Amino acid sequence: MSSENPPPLNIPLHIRYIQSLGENQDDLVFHMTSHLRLNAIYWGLTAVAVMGQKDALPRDLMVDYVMSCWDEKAGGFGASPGHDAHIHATSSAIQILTMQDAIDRVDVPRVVKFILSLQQPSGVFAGDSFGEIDTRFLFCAVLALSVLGHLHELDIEKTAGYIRRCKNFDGGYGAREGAESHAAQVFVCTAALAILDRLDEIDHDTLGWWLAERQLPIGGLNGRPEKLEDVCYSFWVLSSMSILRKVTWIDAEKLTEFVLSAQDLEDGGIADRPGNQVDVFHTLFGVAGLSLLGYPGLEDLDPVYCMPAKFIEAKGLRTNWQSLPRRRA
Amino acid sequence: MSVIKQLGALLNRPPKSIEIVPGDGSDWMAEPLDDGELFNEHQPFLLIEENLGVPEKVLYMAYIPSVELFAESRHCIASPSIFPADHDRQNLLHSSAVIVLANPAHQTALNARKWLVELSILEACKELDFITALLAVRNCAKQNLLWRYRRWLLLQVHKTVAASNDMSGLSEDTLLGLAMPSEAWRHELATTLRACEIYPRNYFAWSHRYLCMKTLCALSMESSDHAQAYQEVLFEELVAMKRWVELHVSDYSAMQYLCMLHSGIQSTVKHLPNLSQIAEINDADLVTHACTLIEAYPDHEALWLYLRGALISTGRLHATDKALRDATVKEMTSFAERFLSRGAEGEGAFPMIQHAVSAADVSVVRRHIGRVLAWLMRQIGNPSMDDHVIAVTG
Repeated sequence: MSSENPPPLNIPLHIRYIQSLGENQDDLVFHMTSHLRLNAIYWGLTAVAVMGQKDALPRDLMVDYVMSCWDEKAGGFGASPGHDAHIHATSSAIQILTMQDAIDRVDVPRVVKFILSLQQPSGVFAGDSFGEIDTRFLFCAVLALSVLGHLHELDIEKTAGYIRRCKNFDGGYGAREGAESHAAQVFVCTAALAILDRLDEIDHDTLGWWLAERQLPIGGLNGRPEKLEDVCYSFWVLSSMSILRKVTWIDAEKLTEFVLSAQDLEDGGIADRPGNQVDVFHTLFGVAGLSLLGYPGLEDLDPVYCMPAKFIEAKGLRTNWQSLPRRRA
Repeated sequence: MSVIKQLGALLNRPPKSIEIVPGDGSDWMAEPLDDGELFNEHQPFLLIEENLGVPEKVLYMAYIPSVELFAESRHCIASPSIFPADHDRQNLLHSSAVIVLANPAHQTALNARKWLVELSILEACKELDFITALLAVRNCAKQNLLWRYRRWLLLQVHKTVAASNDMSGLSEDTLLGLAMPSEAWRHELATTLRACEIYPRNYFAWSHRYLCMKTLCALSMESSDHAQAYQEVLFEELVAMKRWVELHVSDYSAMQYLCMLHSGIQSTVKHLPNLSQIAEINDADLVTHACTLIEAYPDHEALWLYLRGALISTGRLHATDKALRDATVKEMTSFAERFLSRGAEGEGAFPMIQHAVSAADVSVVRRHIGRVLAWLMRQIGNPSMDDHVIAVTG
């Protein structure tokens, strides 16, 4: 890693980058990501909010777009109009509407019913009627129910019990029982258990070590052994460490340098690693990781919900996570 | 519109294999085909003995019109009680096939195809063959939606009890209850391996393989005429996986699967003991396997983690047998420390590292050894409190 100081976080440039997304609606890439649209809007909104400018994106247009994704037949949200309702899009919709103070637009009882209907006998959640299961969807369900104030309708033991069965011999968690430990899946399982107040299910030290071993000499983090470093793991790993109160097990300075070196200082945005193409996903998770590392000028982020901490605190949902103190500029 | 129909029809045959090739297909339009024919009836696509070539530019140009056609025709899904008109059916079949090839994460298109199978408009076994071909295409091979769909199709094709309960309602994503002949299981395992060759560390291919393995273990413990045949598949799998690991020394996905496979087989052998096969299992000691590979490639993190996994899955670190656990920790600590022992005069600084097959960097090996020694200490309840940031500093 270069001993030169990396460039500081260029907040105005990244805000402009996020504002420009969606301008090229004839672009093939825009069409090929329509199945992720609501997720992308949530990533963009959270990123600008963490950078202190939530109002950089037009609120009313956003709220109306979210509502146009409502699937009246299913009682949930699809990723974009014409896409089937899905739990991932639904949880992103709820996060967006919460941050935009527009949750009153949602038919909460119907959404709760949709979410609960996706729980399987084993305790995991499917994404939709297609039946794909993943601990990510379990987390989406737990997060959404929690934010909507309906967590009490969930069978906590059944849900936590499924996560218990996903614990691998290395202390990590995968997408389902028997799947390889993966940092992103570790995050969703850890965060879900934090919301369910069942962190006692985790072997904290073994998992903490597995997470610490994601850091490579270059400073970046990977998601699995012998994979390349990637900026998004600066959130998946760091948030899990934050929930386990072991953020000091990561070399914060090297990780910060790595994330900052992945910025595109001409057109804005952050990439998965230095020199690569930027996208809104890595921009959010880069900025989110920096927030947890105490980078100056950023808002506090709740690592459990991956939303600005103030929204979660306002709902009385804050749990006992720990991030590095915010440094002065 | 006609390109969508043309490509959709080719994809729905389905072909034996599909390859997305760079360019627009003009290269093969001018060339005579092998059998002397000058005219390629499928241009801009190429179909030879059911192997389909799709020019990348043509595929991506067809994407947006396919999405539009799909949107127009999917209204028939909204009214499931009405059997779709022929033109809607064809449009849905063609457009969804093109969408799924270009964008296998397009949930809604896959949902539509599943609905067509449920209505018997699409035959489950043909659709299974289509998915087999897709899973050998790089951008499709890692897509969990396709693996999930594949499992559902397997249950439909083999008409199991689980499938008959799944009439459009949700039923859990599993292969338990799938009683296929052992040859079909071998084909399934081969499909996942091909997907791992095309896309290394293929997360959902390995997850699918795990589900196959668990089902085979369950089947081999049932009192049936086929139990022995299923065990044979499992033993072949053990040999094949050890070989795969020897050829892919960075593939931790395979190594952690191998540890679970070993445990799975041991539990079946308890139910169907067969002396010669038990000997084979003991011979397949994963700890020895891992150590041998580490001696050749000590700079590979995955192998040190494989060793950790093997120590756990073979039960050598179980708290119930403290004597075995402590002896194992001692033995493995010596093994690791040997790599850092200095050579005799004239022999070079770290002979074990220098004589390794890989051009091992001493600092890299040191980092792996530091981690494994700390891990071994933790197994006997002696965590090193010095620095938790060993991940970077080594």
